[in-house]
Amino acid sequence: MFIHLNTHSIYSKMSGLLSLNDLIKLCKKSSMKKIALTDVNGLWGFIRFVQSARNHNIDPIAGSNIITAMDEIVILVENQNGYENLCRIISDVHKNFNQSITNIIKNKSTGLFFISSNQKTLESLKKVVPNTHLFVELRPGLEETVIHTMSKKLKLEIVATGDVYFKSPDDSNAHKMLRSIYYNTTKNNLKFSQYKTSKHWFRTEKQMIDLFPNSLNALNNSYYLADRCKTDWSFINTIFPGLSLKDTHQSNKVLKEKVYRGAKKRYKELNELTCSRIEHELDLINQKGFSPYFLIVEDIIKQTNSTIGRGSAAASVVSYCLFITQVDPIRHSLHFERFIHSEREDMPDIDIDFPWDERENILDYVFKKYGEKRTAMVSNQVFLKPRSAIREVGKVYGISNEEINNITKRIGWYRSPKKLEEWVKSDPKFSNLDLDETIISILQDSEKIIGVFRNSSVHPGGVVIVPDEIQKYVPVLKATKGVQIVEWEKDQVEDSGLLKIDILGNRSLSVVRDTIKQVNFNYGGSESGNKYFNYHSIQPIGDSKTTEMMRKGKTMGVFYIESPATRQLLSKSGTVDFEHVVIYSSIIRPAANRFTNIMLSRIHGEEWNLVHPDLEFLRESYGIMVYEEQVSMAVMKMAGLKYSEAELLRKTMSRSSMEHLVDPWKKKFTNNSIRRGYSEEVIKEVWEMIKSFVGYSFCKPHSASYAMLSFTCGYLKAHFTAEFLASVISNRGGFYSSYAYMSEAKRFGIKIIKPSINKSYYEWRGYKDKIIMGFMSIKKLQKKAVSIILDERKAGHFESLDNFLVRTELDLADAMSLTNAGCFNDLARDHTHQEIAYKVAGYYLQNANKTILSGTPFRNQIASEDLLRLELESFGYPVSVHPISVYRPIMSRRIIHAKDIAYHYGKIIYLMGICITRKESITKKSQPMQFLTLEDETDIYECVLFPDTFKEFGDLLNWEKLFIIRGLVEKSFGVHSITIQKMASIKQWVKRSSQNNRMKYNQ
Amino acid sequence: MNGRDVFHIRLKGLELQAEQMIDPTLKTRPVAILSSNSPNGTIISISPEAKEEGLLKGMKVSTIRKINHGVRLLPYNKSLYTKINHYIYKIVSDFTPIVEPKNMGEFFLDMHGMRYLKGNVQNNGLSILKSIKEKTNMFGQVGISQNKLVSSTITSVVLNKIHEVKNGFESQFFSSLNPFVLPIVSEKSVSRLIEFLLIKKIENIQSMMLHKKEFQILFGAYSTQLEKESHGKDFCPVIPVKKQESILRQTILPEDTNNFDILKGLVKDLSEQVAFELRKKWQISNKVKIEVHYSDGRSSNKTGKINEIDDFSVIKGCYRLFEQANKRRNRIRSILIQASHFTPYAEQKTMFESIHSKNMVLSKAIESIRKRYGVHSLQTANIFQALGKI
Repeated sequence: MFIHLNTHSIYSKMSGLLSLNDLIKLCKKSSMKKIALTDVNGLWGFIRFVQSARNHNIDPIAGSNIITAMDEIVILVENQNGYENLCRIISDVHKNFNQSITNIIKNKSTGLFFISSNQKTLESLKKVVPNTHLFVELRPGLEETVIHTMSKKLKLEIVATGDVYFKSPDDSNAHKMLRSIYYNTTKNNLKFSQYKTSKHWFRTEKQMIDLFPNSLNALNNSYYLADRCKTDWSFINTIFPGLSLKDTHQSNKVLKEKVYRGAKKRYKELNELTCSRIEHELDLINQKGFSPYFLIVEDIIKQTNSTIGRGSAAASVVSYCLFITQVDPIRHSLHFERFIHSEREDMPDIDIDFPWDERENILDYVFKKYGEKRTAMVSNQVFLKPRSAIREVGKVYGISNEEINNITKRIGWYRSPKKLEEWVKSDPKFSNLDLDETIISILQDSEKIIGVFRNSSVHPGGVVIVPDEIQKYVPVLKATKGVQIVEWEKDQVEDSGLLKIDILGNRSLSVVRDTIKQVNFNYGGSESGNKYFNYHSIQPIGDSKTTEMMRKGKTMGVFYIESPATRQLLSKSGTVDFEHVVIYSSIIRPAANRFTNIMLSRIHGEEWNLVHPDLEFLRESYGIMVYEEQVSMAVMKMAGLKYSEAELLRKTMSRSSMEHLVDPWKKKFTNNSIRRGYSEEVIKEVWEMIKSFVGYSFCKPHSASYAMLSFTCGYLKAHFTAEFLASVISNRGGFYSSYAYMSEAKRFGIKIIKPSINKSYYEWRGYKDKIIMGFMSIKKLQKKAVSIILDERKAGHFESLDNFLVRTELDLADAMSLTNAGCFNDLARDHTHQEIAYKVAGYYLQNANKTILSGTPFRNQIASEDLLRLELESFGYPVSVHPISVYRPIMSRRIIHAKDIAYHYGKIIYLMGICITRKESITKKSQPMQFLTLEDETDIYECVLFPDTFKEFGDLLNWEKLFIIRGLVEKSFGVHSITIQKMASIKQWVKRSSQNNRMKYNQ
Repeated sequence: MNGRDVFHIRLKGLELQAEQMIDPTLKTRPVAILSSNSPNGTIISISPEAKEEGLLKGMKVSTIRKINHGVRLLPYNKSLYTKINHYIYKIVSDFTPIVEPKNMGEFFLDMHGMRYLKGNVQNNGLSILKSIKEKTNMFGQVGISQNKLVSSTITSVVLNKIHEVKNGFESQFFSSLNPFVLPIVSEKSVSRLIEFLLIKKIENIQSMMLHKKEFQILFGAYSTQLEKESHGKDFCPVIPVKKQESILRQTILPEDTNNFDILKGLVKDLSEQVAFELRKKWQISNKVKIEVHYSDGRSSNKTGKINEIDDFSVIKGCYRLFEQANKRRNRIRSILIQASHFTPYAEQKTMFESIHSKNMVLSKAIESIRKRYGVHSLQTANIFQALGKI
C-alpha cells in the first residue's frame, strides 16, 4: 500500500515537469485513490489540482514542500485549521526566506503533518510538534539504513515518498534545463545541490517497493498518513457564511435602503414593474448572502464620479440603482438571471472600470479601508510558452540573441503548438531557417518545458477582499511592485469562492471626465454649460448629431467603436441606434467575421429565417448568436442541459485555458440534441455559431454597458469635438497614435495650435474650433519644468521673452525643448528662431548674476526643412504641415486625393498615405494578410493587402510609414476600400525618380 | 611653427577596399561591413551600391535587417584590416620617419624639410598615393597643410585626390564648412548648442567670436578651443608610435561552445604557453589581458597582473581573469591572452623550499620534456580532454 505524498507539478517554480492532469492520470493508472500535491513553497495550482483530481475520482491532499535557506520539509494538511496554518506558513516563507522551519511554524503547527529527512530539522521540530504529526522521510537518493537509524534515534516513524518531479527518468535532462534557466547558468555549470537526480520520477507502488525493499512499513505508512489527511474540499460560499446572522441582517437592510434611495434618483417615479424587479433581485441577493458584497462595491465606486460596470452585473437593477452600472436593465431588456440565478452557487463577479488615472487611488483606498490583512490583489501566473521556452533554452545553450530571435520572431506571441520540432520543420514560415543540430536540440528541449510555471505578477485590477484574514484562505506574497498578491490567478480565485472585484483602468472614462471639465470651463455659466455638468446627466441615446456622426463611421476616439473594422461596420450598416451598437460591440470578434457579413445583408433587407423556431431568442440579433447568454439558452433549449451545465459550457468557451474541453462539449451537445429531435443540419449550424465564441465573447449586459459609454463619448465628440479630441490625446487614449487623433481633429475643421508659454497647460485643451497642444506633447520636457511655468503663470501671464527668462528658473535642456517646440514664438514675435535660441541659451548657461544677452550675430529666418525637423524632434510628428503634402508637389498628378476615392469606384488608382494603423489577419488557408489604414492631407481610407501582395510588399510595413500605393477601388455596403496591388516607400520612390532623372539628363 | 608640412593620408573605407582586394567581385555589388553581428552593431564601411539600397554608414544592424534587400553584409575581419593597415603604415614610412597612425586607414606624416624632394609639395603627396596604389591596389587621398587639424579636415571634406591649404588661408578654408567637422564639436554640450542655435557654417561661429563675452558665456570652457579650431589652428606635433613588446596567444575554437570544462582546458593550454614564454624571458608580466570573443560578435576582457612565472601561478591567475571576463552564457568563439609591460623576475630566495620553487621545478621539468618531444607531447588531463572534444 503506497500513496504519493510528495509530488511536484509544473507549479513548482522551474523544477517540476508534471502537469496536474498528467500527475492525476499517473495516479489513476497506478490505482492510487489519493495523492498529495506538495509544490515548492506554495499552493499555486491547488484549486486546479482539486478540480482535476475530482474529475478522476481521486482524493486530493493539500500540502507543500517548504524550502527555506536553512531547511527543507514536507507539510501535509490534516484539517481545515491545518489548511489555514499552511497558508500562513507559506506566506511567512514568501516574506522571509532566511529563517528556520521551527521558527516559521511556531504557533501554526496544528492540523498539519510534517515529514523531513534531515536529522537536525527533525530534532528541532520535535520540540514543537508531537510525534504523531512528525515523520522521517525516506525519499529516493537516501540510504534506507541511514533513515532507519535516524528513526530509531528520534523515535519517529518513517514515511516513504517518491519526491516526484517528473514522469520518467528520461525527463531528468529537462529538469536540469529548468534549473539552469532558474539559476541563470549552463547545464554543466549547475551545482549538485541545485537540481534533482534522475531518481525523482513517478513510481508505481511496485517500483517503490523495488526501490525500498527493506522499508515496507514506511511504504504502508504513506497510505495510513494519507488516510488522516483532509480531502473533502469545498469552495462554495467560502467567505460570507463567516458573517454572523446579525451582520447579514444589517447588510440586507442597508442594501435595501440604498437601492430604493438610488432608484428614486434613477427613475424619479417608481412604477410597479420597477419595484417588483427590485424586490425580486433583492430577494435573490439576500437569499444568496451577497448583500455585503454589493455594499463593498458600492462603497468603492463612490470614490469617483465616473465608473462603468462591465460584465453581467449590468443586468441588475440593484447595481443600476447603486450607480455601479449605467444602463437601465429594464429599458434595455437585460435579464437578471445572467447575473444571479437561483441555481448559481458561486459568487457573481462585479467588474468595474474606473478612469485609468484614478485606479491607483482607488486601490489605495481599498487597501487602506480594508487593510492588508483582509485585502490582496489577484496575481497573473506566467507560464513558459513556445517563444519564451525557446528563448530560455537557447540562452542555456549559449546561442546568441540574434539566432534565438531568428526563430522566436516567427512564432508570434499567442501561438502555442506543442510539437515544436515538427512544426518548425513543416511550417513555411521557417522555410529559410538553418536547422542545425543545436537548433534541433533546443527545439526538443523547449518542447519538454512548455507550460511550466515561470513566475507570478500582479493582475491589472483584480482585488480580493475577505471579512477576516486573507492568509487563512490563500498564501500571499509581495509582488516586485510591492503590492500584496495572492498566489492564485483570477480563474482559481473565482473558483475558490473568494470575493474578487475587478478594478480596471479605462482611458475613455478619463476622456469623458476631462471633456466635461473642459466644457464646463469653456462654457461655464452659459446654458449649455450647466446642462452638461456631470457624467450621469448626459443623455446621448437618440441624439441625432451623435447618430449621424456614428453612421458615417467618424468614431475615432470613441470608446470601443473606433477600430477600423468597427468604423467600417457602422458605415456599412447605416443603422446606428443603441440596440444595434450593442449588437455590433458583441459581434466584432475574431472568429465571427462570417456572421458579421450575414448580419449586414439582413440589416440591408435580405430575407432570413431563424435556424430553428425554438431559437426565438435569436430574433433580436437577426438570427445570429452574438451574446454569451444566447449560447446558454441555445444549449439548454436544444440539448436540455441544466443551468449549471450551460454556465460551465459558457465558461469553457470564454477561457483559453479550457479550450481542450470544447470537443467533449460538442459531443455532448450534438448527441443530446439529436436525441431531442433536432436535425444534424440545425445542430451543425448552431454549433458553428457557438464555436465563434471560443476565447473571446461578451454577455449582453456587458455590451450594453460598453455601448452606453460609446454613446456618451460619441455625444461628446459630436457636440464638443475639440474638447473631446484634446482629452483623448491628453489621456494617451485609444487605438491610434496622438498624431492620428490630431489629424482627425483637422478633418473636423479644428485648428491645431502649437504649444505656447502663455496659453498651454500640461494637457491638450480644446476650445470650440481650436485645440491648443499641451506641454505634455513636447518629448523631452520634464514635468518639473511645466509645473514651474504653470505656477509662475498664476502670478500673471509672461509679457515678453525677457520677462519669462527673469521669472523662471529652468534647466537648459527644458528651455531648449520649449524653444524648439516654438513655445516662445507668441512672446517674441519680432525675433527669429535663432535669436530666441541665442537669448535662451545665453541666459540659462549663466550660473549667477544672470544677464540677458543683447543683440545677436545672426538674424536668419528659419528654413521650412528646419521647422519640420524641429517639429519631428519635439513632438514626434509634424504639426504645421501634413507629411504627405511635402511630397505632393514633386509627385505625378495621376496620384489622386483620398477624398476623391468614391469617384473612382471599380478603377485602379494611385494614392499616397501615411500609415495610421494596421492589423494582420489570417485567411481560411492560414495565409497572412494585412488590413491597413492610411491617410493623406484630405481623408483617411482603408486598404487591404491580400496574401500574395502581402508576401511581396509586407516587409515594407516594418520600416516605412509613408507609402505610394496602386490599387483597385472596391465597394461593400456603400463603403469604399482599396485592394492594394503594389506599394512602395515614398522616400525611396522620390530617390529613385531623381536618380532616373539624373541618368536621363546625363544621357 | 611656420614651414611645417603635415600630410594626412586617408584611405576611405579601408575595410571595404580590403575586402574588394581579396574578392574583386565585390567591387560591383552592394556591400556593407558591420562592426558586429549583434543588434547594436553598426555599418562601418559601405559601398556606393549599398548606399543606393538605402543603407547608411552608422546604421544599426537591427535596422539593416529590416530594410536590407540583397546587400551583402560582411563581418568585421579585424586581423585582415590590421595587417593591411600595418602594411600601408610601412609604405608611408618610406617617405618620412615621423608617421602617426590615426584611425584605421589614416596616417599623419610630418614632411617637414622634404618640400622640394619631388619638385613640389603636391608631387610628394602624389608619389605617396602612387606607391600605395602600386603595392596594394588601394586608393587614398592626401590633405596638406601646416597642421594636423586642417590636413585631416581636407581629406574628410574635399573630394580631390590631393588638396593643399596654404599657410594663412586656414580660416578662409573653414568658414564655409559645417561646424561638425571640428573635433571640439564632438563634445556633447558644444554640439547640442550648435544644433540648438541652428548654426550651419563655421563662419557663423567666427562672427560670434566678435562678441567675446557672449561667446564665452555660450561655450564656456570650450570657447578657447572652439575659437582655435574655427580658424584652423592646431599646434599638436605629429607623434610617431612607440612599440610595445608583448606575448600574445590565441585560440579560435573550431566550434563555438559554452562548455565550461572545454573552455577551462583551453585557458590552461594558453596559460602554459604564456608561462613558457615568460620563463624564456625570465620576466614577469605586469599586464595580462584575457579577451573572450563570443559567437554573437561581442567580446569582454579583463586585465590583471601575475607576479610569478611558473605554470601553476600563471594558470591560476589566468583562470581568475577568465572567470571575471566571462560573465555571459553565450557560446565562445575565441580566447586570447596577451601579456605585456614586462619587468625582470626576481626570485625570492628562501631557506626552505617554497610552493613557488616547487612549482618552478615542476614547470622546468615539463618544459625539458616538451623541448625534446614537442609542445603537445605532455599534456594535463583536462587540456587533453578539452582539445580532444573540440
